[in-house]
Amino acid sequence: MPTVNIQGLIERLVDPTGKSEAVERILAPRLRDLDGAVIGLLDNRKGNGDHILDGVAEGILQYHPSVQITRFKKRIFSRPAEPEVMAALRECSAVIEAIGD
Amino acid sequence: MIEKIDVIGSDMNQVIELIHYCHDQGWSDGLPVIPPVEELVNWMLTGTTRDPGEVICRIPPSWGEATIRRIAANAVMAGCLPEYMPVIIAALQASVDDRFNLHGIQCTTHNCSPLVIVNGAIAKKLGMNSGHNCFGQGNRANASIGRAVRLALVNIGGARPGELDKATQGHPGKFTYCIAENEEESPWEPYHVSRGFSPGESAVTVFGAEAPHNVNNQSSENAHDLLMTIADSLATLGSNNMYMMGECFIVLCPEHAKLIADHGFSRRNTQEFIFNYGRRTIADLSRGGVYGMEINKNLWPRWVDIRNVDTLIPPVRRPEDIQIVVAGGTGRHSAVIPGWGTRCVTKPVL
Repeated sequence: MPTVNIQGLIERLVDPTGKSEAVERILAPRLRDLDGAVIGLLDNRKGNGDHILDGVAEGILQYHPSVQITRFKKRIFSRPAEPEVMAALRECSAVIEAIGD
Repeated sequence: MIEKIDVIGSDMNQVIELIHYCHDQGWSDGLPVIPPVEELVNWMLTGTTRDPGEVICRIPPSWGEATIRRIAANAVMAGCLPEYMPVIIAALQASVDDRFNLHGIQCTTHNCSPLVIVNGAIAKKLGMNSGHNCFGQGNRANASIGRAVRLALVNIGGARPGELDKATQGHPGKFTYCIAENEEESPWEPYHVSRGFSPGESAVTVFGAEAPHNVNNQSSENAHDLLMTIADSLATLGSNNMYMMGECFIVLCPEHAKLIADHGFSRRNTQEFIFNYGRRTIADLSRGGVYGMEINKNLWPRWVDIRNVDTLIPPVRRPEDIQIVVAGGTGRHSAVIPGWGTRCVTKPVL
């Protein structure tokens, strides 16, 4: 292809994307230790997520017996969790979600 | 007649370079796009009375703002005419309705994409194809409206293949997937009228749809035999519907629709037949499909007795969740279109 200067034309293109609204998200603060922590385990409800979380719960309690584990399930996996589930998750020290497809 | 637009730069090499530039920016679906230069976007904006800065919706997964101007830029790239704008806007408004679950449809591994169905006078005004090869190529309005909707969803919503669009295989409708209903040859009221709109209104329906699956029946001479073929084509172990329910579309060719109606079936009767005969037993469904033995039982209708493996499971929860549309030309091929477990949404074209 011949090299053609199109800089002037590029400036006249209307950006068809929504990039400008993209918000950078930062990770929540990590827990320093697990002693006495309340850990929420959220099953996405797709196949096998519950089995993974069974193992996660067992592993956590083996090494950190003082942790309080709370289990949750989404009703439909392709949709956001119900407001009451989200509210309960916010009360946890940390949350682990699993999908085991 | 398309008015002449003066675009700065008349050098064909510059145009080709701009097309390459659009590819490099990731704005294209892989096919060439018309570069969305300001003059063309302003021309596209003549197709709507809305303010170019108006935000119609925010599109997941990146939640970009779908302004009228951005929608127009995507419509230019897709090859639209300005008068297509109201249909594109209505389709995008419908897509962000909660019942549609656009976030999921944009990102899922499932091979689904918004099917756009246009009803009412607007379809005729725009010269849309509701007849021969309606799902195929060859009509500017069908092709470019569907493409504009897809480009807008991907560009504004950020659902690019392999990034946030995780479709395992995708399907060809992810380029464009838009038809009009063949209202003239439908034996029943237009589809949008069955959804509460008046015949004088134009409306756009969107549905998170798999590709059309052909139902070839050249031989049936009565509605029961023909509908059994259609029902059987829907109730398969590989179908999402048997597990997720939601809705599905049956797109009847005019000859099939006529045969069914000639035997006294209304649209409702047709839905009831498919609901009652398009079924598989729990024993069957447990042999394979989405979850095998771990079927997501709570999505089935409440009346299903899951203790009895002989219970017949319908493809949706209620007969009215089977959407019946008439489209196509001469011949005896209809289509079943399984969904993704979500619902279709219809919005008026304003």
